[in-house]
Amino acid sequence: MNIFKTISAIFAWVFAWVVFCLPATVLAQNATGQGWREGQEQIQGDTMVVAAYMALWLILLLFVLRIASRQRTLKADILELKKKIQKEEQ
Amino acid sequence: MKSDKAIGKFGPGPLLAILATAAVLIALYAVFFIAPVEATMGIVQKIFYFHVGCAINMMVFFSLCGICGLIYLIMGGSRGRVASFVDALGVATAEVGVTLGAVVLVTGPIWARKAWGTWWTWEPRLTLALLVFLLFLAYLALRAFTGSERFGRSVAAGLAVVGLPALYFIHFAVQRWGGAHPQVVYKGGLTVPGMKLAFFLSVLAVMLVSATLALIRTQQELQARLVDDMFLKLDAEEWK
Repeated sequence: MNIFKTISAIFAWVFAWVVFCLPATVLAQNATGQGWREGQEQIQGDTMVVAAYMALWLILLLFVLRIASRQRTLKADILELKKKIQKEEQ
Repeated sequence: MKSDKAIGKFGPGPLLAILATAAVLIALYAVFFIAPVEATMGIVQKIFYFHVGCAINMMVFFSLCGICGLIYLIMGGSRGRVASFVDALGVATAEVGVTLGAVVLVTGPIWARKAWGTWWTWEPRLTLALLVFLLFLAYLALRAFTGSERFGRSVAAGLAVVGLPALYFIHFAVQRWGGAHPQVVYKGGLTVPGMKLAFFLSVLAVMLVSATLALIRTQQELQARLVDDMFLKLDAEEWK
């Protein structure tokens, strides 16, 4: 694995961790009274916010996985094409 | 090899991807740490930032798809470079638009349940948004079934063009036909600086992520076509 892939993987991991866990962490702080200074405390609202943000990132993640799957297929096709061209040249 | 050279041609590059990721993280920080909790709706209003960001970008990307379809039809569905690029961009923007539409249609009812007391109501903006989402879903289904056929591409492009006026109606639905949908942005409801900042950062973050994904998909589409064309050429040479 080259350095770019390693950095990308670390970046993606940190991104996924923060994006999936930030709303839940902040709302947990809110529930224990250490987070929000303004507004009202609504447990059901908290659940809704976590659900909405989870759904958002999950849909985005599925789309990114689909793109990655297509990229793999494309790479396999390019490899096959290269082999075919080499065969033709011989 | 030609296909190898084409790989980096229309790609977003790592800079845009990093910029998009950073924008999302900053926007999330602004939504959860800078913007205050809204007094009437409470914490559930935090859904609004990314929900509206996705809705605005959904309309932008569906509009781009419709414009691409229009250009493709004007060019007579030719197999030239520009037509091919426009067609690939059309598919990519439709896919990103449908993804954003799915986010809007999932997060909207979650917010509505708390704000309106119901998951779904057949008010004009919601109904039109659902119809446009289904229209572009049909566009993608058509593209998937017809593959590289010129006729299929042209029909799909026509379908995308049909979506353009519907997008206009989504935008003005609340003003023209009323409904329960709030008009926070246009009526100047975002007066708190923290909320304003979180909102604009969210819209920008979603836009950067969507643009990155759309450029990656455009690049993939163009590469796939190039590979298909080369396979066809090789097969034709074999037959000779």
